[in-house]
Amino acid sequence: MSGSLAASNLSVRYETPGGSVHALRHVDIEAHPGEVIGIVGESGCGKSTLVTAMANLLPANARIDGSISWNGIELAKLDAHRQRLLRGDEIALVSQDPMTAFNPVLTIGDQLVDFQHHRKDLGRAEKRARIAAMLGRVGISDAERRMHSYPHELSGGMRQRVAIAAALLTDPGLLIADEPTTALDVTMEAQIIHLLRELRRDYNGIIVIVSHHLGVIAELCDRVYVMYAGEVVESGEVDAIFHDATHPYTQALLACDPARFQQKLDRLPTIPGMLPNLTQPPCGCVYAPRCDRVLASCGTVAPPLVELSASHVARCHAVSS
Amino acid sequence: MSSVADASVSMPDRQRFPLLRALLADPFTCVALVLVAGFLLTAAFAPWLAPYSPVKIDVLHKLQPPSSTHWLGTDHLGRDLLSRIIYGARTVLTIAIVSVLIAGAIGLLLGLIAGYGPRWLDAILVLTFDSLNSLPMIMFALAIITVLGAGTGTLIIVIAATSFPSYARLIRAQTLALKNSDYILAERLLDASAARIIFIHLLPNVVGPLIILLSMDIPVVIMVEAGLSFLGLGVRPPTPSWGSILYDGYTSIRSAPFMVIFGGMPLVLATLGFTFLGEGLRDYLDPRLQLRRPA
Amino acid sequence: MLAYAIKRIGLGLLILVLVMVAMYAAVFLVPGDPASVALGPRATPELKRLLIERMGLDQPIWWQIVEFFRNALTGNLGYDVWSNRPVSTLVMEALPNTLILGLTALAAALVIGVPLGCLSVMRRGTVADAVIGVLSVGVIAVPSFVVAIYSLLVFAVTLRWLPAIGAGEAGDIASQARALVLPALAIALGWIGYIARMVRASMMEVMGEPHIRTARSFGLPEWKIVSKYALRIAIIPTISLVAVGLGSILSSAVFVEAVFARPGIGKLITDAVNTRNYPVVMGTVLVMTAIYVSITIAADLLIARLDPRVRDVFRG
Repeated sequence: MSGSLAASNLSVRYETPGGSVHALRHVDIEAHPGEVIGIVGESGCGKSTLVTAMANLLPANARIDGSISWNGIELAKLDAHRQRLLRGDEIALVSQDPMTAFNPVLTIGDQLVDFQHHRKDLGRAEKRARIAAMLGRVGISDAERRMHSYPHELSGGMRQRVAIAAALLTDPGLLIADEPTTALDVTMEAQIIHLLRELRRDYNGIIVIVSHHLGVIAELCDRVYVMYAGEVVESGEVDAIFHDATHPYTQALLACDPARFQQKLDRLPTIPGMLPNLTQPPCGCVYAPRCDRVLASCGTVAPPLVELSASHVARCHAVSS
Repeated sequence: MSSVADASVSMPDRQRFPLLRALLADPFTCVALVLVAGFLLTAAFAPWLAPYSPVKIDVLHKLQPPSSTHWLGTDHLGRDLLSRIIYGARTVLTIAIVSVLIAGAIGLLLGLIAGYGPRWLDAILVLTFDSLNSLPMIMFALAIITVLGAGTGTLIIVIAATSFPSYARLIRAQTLALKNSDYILAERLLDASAARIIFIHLLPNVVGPLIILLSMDIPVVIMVEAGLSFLGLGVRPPTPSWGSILYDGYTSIRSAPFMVIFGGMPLVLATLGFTFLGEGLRDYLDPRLQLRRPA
Repeated sequence: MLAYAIKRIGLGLLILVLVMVAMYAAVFLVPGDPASVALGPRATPELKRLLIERMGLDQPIWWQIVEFFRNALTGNLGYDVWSNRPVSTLVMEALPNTLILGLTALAAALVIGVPLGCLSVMRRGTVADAVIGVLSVGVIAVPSFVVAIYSLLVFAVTLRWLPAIGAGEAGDIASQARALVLPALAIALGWIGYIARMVRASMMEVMGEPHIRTARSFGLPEWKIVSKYALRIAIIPTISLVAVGLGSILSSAVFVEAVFARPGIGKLITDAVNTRNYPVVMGTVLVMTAIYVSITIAADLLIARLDPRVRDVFRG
């Protein structure tokens, strides 16, 4: 199953007793079969909301404007039942924290059988056989025995492999990995990245990888969307973003990545200031209060989308002038 | 268990009578409040409200259905049912409040001792609480009644003895949590006396949840009083009690069903009123406390 | 797990011994000897001496306690003061009726209460949820013996659908079942509300956990998420509360048995208390406490079985 993912002018806000929280504003995203796209940004930038919207899992108090479509189907307009039919069939999600992602009182095998519920054509034994094969493919030895394990009997890295296996078992056209390595230690992280790279070779759907970790994105993705305060501030091919970053926020983000330091530093660099309050987003550029290249217009006029090359765009006054 | 501290911090607004406002905002709590107030006033002013003496026997007019002279009819001895119910409110509420206060005081004392005292004492007390808690309450109650004989005093002892362990456990848990909190530690480092710590810091913090628990237990006590009196093991006749009224009605359920119908009503209304009021209090003060078990 | 079980059972036995010792001590401390209290104004010196001998009251108290436990271990709980029948026989005659009543009530409460709680969670925030919530608190509040009397009045006396008294004809299952309906429902009603509330509360907590989001992200239908993924976890605290609450089911049984004149433990002990029949009271309290304590232990062990996380803590 393959198809294209597209969001255009997508905004999501949460209605809360404290007012509307504008978690996502005017986001444009496009992905085609075979592509791996990365979404990067610091905590609270709207990554999770974007993922939740793609996976049709937005809570009841979320309001969607604009469009997000999968294979030409407008996701926001689907009723709850049709949304559910897409989940775990064409769209699969590998959740953030492998430690809590599985039900603690059901065995791995039991849960993975249930997760294939869209495959009415398969019997229980066939589903278990598929699980065993898939667990082997994601690098779990002794798959038959592992299926009888409860989640807490597996290590974090192993659970993340199981989570990836669970998603792949559904043959999704869109595989979303939400912070797939954040909860893991460094060696496990490297192993999971390695696994994901292997998988993308013989997978022809779309993979979306969300991370605040630039290394993960650089290693795995074709195209990158940099998000800040609910907006995509810069997007482009992975090389363009990492070697030719234009937006001041992307530049600052890259400068803060310890893996990219050229020499030993006395102090770790940080971006001064805090994220804007998303109940009342600023009318100009969202990054203006923290930007070191701020212009007079930044505080009042929303920055235009500047096309730097065919696929590389940035939303910034300083770049356009 | 930081619930105490949170409960006092999370008072929503600084209006006057915030508790009363919050309780009145919920229609069920509102009705409950009216019911409870009604019963308390009835109990307080029973001699002025009751049309007859609750113990005046008039066998010539026994088992009379409701009429303009006897609004709720008369019982098998010709006593006015309404008057007996009104005085019954006095009996049951007195017993309920006295026994719950006694149990609360014992629980508070033992809980503080267990939580603040030496560890060996704590171990003994916890074993005692657990042993008492692990008994089926009614068996325990019946055993006490066998030994002491039925009567109002026994009833109060029974209720206090069966309910104090749960209060003591709550107080102990709260005390332990507070004892290890940073600010008590700071006080102890400043050489504050045990009395100062207990009276200035612990007591005000543990009393809130205790009051909720006590208020939630009042309907249980009402039920136990009525149940034991129904069995003839509670308040001794001729003292009017809702339980014995119900029993008198039960014996003439075929000839005078109105007695059972009216006799059960105050019990239903009082337990409903106190329960919904307790629920409202709990929702406002500490939603994490659990609901009481069925009576 | 085994060590845990042994520890729990040991504590249970200790509690039993403590209770009986305390009861004996209380009898001993009470002013007036039990024999004259029991006989009341009828007491003649001969009668009293006979009764004292029969109750073993002429022995020192510690000897009485030791005797009681030694006899209890061989199944001898003493003799009824008035009829001289063995207490163990009386208890064994009455016990099945009470256990059937309690278990039927509990089963009915679980069968109705758990789905109601689940329904509340699936329809959370709707009118159905609110109605279930208010009704639950309402039925919890009302004493079971009042429900028993009202249901007796309506269904047995007025409508004559079901029998008003007794436990049904011996050997006739249908008649026994008919006699069970009203008492069991009177006890179950409050528990239906309680269980529905408990299930709803712990289920709402579980529904917020990340693994439920995982199940949702795989498009599992809501009923399956609620009934399998959430209930398996949410039922665990409910089971322990139900087990702890079995004591109040037994309490309710005492009152409800009185209303329906059902020959069970409740009636046995109430009559014994009224006549100050110490051996019967002691024997019944011992048996009921033993049953109650063992059910609590069984529930703890069941929880350990249901929750693999707890299971491993005990295994390790």
